[in-house]
Amino acid sequence: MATPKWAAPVSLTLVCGFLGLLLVAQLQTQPSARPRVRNEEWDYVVAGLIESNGRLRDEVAALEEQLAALQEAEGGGGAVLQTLVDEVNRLRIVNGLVEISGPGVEVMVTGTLSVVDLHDLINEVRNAGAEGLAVSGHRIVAWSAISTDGQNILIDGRPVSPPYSLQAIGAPDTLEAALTRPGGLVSLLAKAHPEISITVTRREKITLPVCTQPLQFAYARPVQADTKRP
Amino acid sequence: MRWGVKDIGRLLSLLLVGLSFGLLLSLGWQTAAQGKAGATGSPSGQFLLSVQRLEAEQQILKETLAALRQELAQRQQAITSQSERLQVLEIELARQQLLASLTPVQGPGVIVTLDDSAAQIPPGADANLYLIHEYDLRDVVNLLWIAGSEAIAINSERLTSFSSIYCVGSTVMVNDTRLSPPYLIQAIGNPRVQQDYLRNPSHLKELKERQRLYGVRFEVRDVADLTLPAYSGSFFIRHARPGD
Repeated sequence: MATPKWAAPVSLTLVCGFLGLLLVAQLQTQPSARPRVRNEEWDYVVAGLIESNGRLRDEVAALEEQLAALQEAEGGGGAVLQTLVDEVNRLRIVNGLVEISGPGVEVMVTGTLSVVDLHDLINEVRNAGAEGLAVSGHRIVAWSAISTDGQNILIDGRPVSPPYSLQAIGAPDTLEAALTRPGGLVSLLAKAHPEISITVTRREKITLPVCTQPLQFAYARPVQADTKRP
Repeated sequence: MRWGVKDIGRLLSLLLVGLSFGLLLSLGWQTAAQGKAGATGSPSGQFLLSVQRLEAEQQILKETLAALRQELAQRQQAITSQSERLQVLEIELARQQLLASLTPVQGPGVIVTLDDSAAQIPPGADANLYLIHEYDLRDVVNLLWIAGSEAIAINSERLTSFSSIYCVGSTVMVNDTRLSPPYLIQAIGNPRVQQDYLRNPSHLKELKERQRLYGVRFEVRDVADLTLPAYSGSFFIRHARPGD
């Protein structure tokens, strides 16, 4: 069988063309195989990211809610704290446990006063709305003991001697008017003790010291009446 | 058949032509395929963008979360210290309220009863001698404070640092409240000390004399367990400020 003269080159050409195709295909496959697989993976990655970002957003929202609640609680607690601080500070004034200053009157008495006279003076300025008072530098509170050892007036056991000063913080006009009104305490005392002199002076600012005799409860105890509270 | 040099040359050139042909063919096909895909964009480029965007978002979310957790921890810490301060303050407030007579208290003590005389006032006599006056109450109260009393109430009006015992006409006022006789002065303290002071003849001389001569009532009795109400009024503080 005779092979045609053109058969060998043609078949060779075909084979070589096919080889070329394979070669290119091979070259192409090498770099393009990875992106194809990665595209599918990325599908998965993107879906995962979307889901996990969603979870993160949920958590951010939940924490923001918690934070808002805490901030509200803290604000509320802060308001409660402030109320308590204000009330404690107010009661410290009442109880003479803090130095205070403000307008008021000063009563100077030269000569000897009796314990009762002093009590009456204190009662008078309290009645006129004194918010704090001191006698010769001793802060007077509810339980202050004003007595006598027969010679001197004792305030919480400490002797004070004339001239006496009574300083009261409050509305100066009201305090002065209460003391100096006709038939008022100052005129009564002046009548009872012609030898003493009493002057009442309004002051723009008086400073009262802290009470040095804080009350210690040895017999009185708070009544346990907290049943009202839930 | 023998291969001559000419044959080998032909074969080689055929081979080259064939290879080039195959290469061109497949490149052409590739280009065509790529052109088709290019109409919807590069898939890998698109994914890359999404992933980068999502990853950036994730990064921001994680940073936000970290910041939130830190702030939450700080707030919780603040609230904890706040509630600790609150506890301390509540104890302090209770102490101040107790001192300011704002708490009902109980304990041993005395009850002093003062009342106008039951005797018929003779015509022309000074009626004042037969009556209990606000200064009588004041004297007894002051003596009770000197005797170390810790809490005092007159007819259930608890005495405070702001209280005065006053009279308007013939009516006794305590804490802006009208009181009428008989006056019951309750005082918590050491009953023996209180009794000693009250009974001491050098104290309350005038009252004791009116008791003897005109029959005004002045009685003292021990009570093992007194209960005093809290002060129910307010403390007006408009002028005093803490500090110098």
